[in-house]
Amino acid sequence: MPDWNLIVAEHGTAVWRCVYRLLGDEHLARDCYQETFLAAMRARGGEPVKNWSAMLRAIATRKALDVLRARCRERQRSDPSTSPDWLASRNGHAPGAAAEAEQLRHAIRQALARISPRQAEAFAMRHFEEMNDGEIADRMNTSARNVQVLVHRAAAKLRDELPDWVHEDALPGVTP
Amino acid sequence: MNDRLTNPDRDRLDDAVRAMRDTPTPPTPPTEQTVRWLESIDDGRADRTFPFPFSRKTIMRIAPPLSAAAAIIVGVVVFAVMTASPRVAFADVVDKLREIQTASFVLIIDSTQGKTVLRSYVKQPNLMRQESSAMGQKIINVYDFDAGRMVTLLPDARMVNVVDMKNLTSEAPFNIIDEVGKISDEDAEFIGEETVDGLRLLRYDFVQGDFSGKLWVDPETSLLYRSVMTSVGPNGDESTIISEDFVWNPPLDSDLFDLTVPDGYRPILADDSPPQAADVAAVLRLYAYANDGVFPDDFNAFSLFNVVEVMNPPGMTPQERREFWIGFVEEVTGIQAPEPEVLRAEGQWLSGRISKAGILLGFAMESDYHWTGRGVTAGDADTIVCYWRSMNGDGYTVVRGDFSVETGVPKPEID
Repeated sequence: MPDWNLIVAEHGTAVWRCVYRLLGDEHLARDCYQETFLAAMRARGGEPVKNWSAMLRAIATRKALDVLRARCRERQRSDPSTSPDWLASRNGHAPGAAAEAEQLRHAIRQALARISPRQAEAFAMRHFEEMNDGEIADRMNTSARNVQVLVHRAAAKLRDELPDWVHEDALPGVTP
Repeated sequence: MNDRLTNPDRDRLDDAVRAMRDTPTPPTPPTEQTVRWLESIDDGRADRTFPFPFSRKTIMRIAPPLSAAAAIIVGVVVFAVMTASPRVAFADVVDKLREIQTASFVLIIDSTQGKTVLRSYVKQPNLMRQESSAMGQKIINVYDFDAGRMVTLLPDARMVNVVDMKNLTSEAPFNIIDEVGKISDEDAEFIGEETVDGLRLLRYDFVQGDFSGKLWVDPETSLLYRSVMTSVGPNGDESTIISEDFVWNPPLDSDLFDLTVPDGYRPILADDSPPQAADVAAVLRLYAYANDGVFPDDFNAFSLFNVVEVMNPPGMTPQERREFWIGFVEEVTGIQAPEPEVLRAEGQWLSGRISKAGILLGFAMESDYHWTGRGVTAGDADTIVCYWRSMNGDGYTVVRGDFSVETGVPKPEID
């Protein structure tokens, strides 16, 4: 049995940052954080793990994106939070830069939930986790070249998916 | 960012990525708490429960379909043995099989939907029992193919499901001995002798219906020792079925095949009406709802476990799962904002439909079943998503993208 104290102590912060970054919700992130370590425990099948960091961050990314997609589907049905007006009201008194960053995070999370899961996964690992193509390829059982294609296509799709207001200079409700 | 994502003009995606990297993060959960939880899971001490309505019991209801499919596969396995016996005189095999009154073996079904292991018992001429487990729960299916009846028992939950299969059995191998007369040996090739588990066995490669594979026969007994069969779906997904650990003519207690509902067991389904195509349509509606309105790449009896995954996304809080499931109920029943009692009743009704759909699909797979719904959008009334030969012999049954069902129609002409 591996030393989970050591593994969680060493990689817990990176996993936590990964899931919280994608979900933006502490409660959801906590579930996802636990599920990540549980999945790692079950996935290794007694085999030694060469790169715990890459393995854990890849699992965390995949799980967080799964949750993000499910949550966005539900919100589209019942919650106006995808509207920039809602964001404007929420961030109306926030400092400009912080509010803008929050809006951008919200927008890209929504966009990530709408694109192909594999593309989203590759993009998140590459640009948020800053994993190299080889590490990502290992985790996705594909080639480094294919990872580059996935990331490239993801970027193109994400640009299309980002709402118009993101591309405008005057963001709703943000104090300049 | 050093690696700019796009043109040199202002790229808001670039800004968004930077904002994500700089996300302010609350403190990491305490290491000790996480480790304690992990160790409790590893020891089996933690109780990982499932939220309403996918309780463990509900998940178990999805198992019968797989068993129904496996029941058919058993017939295929026996078929294959008969087909592939050029080094063992066919008449010898027939005679040998006629002597078989009971058998036990293990079926391992490995597909894109995961791996399932079924311990199977057969008693001639028409009884079968299969034992499996999923999510830590034991599942027992007992079939009487002559009576057209299947009983599913969940011993831990003390729940029972009785299904009328009478209108489904026309295509099922209800009596494997009777099938012997239909066998030809044109599709099998004798490869040679091979040593397996220290035994000298005869190896044959064969094609049987949608399956291809290899099997090993014990020359001493002229009976099957092991087989590995592979089926490739229209989308290239492989399913492998391994049958092994055969014991021929073991003493099997008749209680193993008792279809009587034990005392103290509660029924899983509110009714025992036969599965219908509308059940398949209902499950497809759920799947499409959970999959952003798009039908899956493939959908058959093996897919039912995948339905569980799709409909039960990880990482949700109990409240969020509940809301997610309210959406399902609203989608299929049209009841908006159901009260808790209504939700529970409808959730159970839906679970029953999932089970019945799987049973129907298990048999439909042996009845010219085709899935043509890959990438089709829910609501598309012009596109057929699946069809199969109706089991009452009256033309074909068709399900369209708008979940409408037609029966008794000519075979669709779809490439």
